[in-house]
Amino acid sequence: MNDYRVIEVKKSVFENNDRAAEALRAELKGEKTFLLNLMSSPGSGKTTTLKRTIKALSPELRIGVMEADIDSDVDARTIAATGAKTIQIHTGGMCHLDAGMTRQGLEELKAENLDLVVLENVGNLVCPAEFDTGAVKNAMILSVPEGHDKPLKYPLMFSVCDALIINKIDVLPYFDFDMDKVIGYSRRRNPNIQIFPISAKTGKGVDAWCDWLREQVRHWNG
Amino acid sequence: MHELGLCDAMLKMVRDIAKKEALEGVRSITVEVGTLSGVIPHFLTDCWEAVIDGTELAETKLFVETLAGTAKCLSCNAEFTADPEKLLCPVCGGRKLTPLTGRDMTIKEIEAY
Repeated sequence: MNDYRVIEVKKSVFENNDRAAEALRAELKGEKTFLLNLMSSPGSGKTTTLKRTIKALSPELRIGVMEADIDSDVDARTIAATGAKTIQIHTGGMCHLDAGMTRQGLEELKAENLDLVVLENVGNLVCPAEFDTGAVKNAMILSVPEGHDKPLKYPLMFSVCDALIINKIDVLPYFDFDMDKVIGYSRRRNPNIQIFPISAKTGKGVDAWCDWLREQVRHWNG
Repeated sequence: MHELGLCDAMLKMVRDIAKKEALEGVRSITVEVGTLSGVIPHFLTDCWEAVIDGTELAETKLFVETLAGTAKCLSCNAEFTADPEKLLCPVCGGRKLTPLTGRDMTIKEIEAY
């Protein structure tokens, strides 16, 4: 009876993942591979945006894509058709990817032979923002039909992202989407966020996004 | 949200500690959850029951303590307790804030025998 002892632990539950993510980033630096973590809601046009991005950058960069769609390989097949090396990461129904799953994906992809790897995270604006995947930069896509108040509803997602792509600007006339408001709300959460209004469908604005990404890759890969 | 994944991570951490300290059993675990972490204590205890079911830690209780998060206003530099429902600086009303504490979730201690 009462012969329990109390062990002080004081260890972060997030710490294991944070450490794994830091280690992964250090390895990527050594291998000269840039990892972009791309997040969004389902249906924001991630796959179409990726196709455009690959088309623009593939003449100069060796690109790989890791798809984390929960239970289909539809997106993986669409991306594979662009010629980029593509694999499907199986999240086992999880709502996000962590650094361990990302590492397994990179190994399968043989990422050491690639300049740019895009991790297409699970379509969700909450959980992926909480877990460091080991990516060099985080980007998210918000599409016009989702509304300009998303930065208020999902503040963490907007604060962890280095870049925000606002997609589907071709349908702006049909929605009450206030571009100035979304930019203001996003900067409130993250004063340094880079914002790229684009239409993945028509290609408008895609060059500015690709220029930013190219510059980030060059900077990281030396 | 992802409380299930967090409970799974905690189970692994507690197993590691039990092995390292050569513990016979673990009576309880106390975790501290920051109010800005997005973790919901009630979901955490439910998920804990699910992950320990059928394991050697099936009798281990989980206690959750909440830690109020703090934030700093980037406009006037005031530091204050942050209400996750209302992210405003109480001094100047500024909305450009940066979290200082309360984003984390920590295993504080375990009761073992």
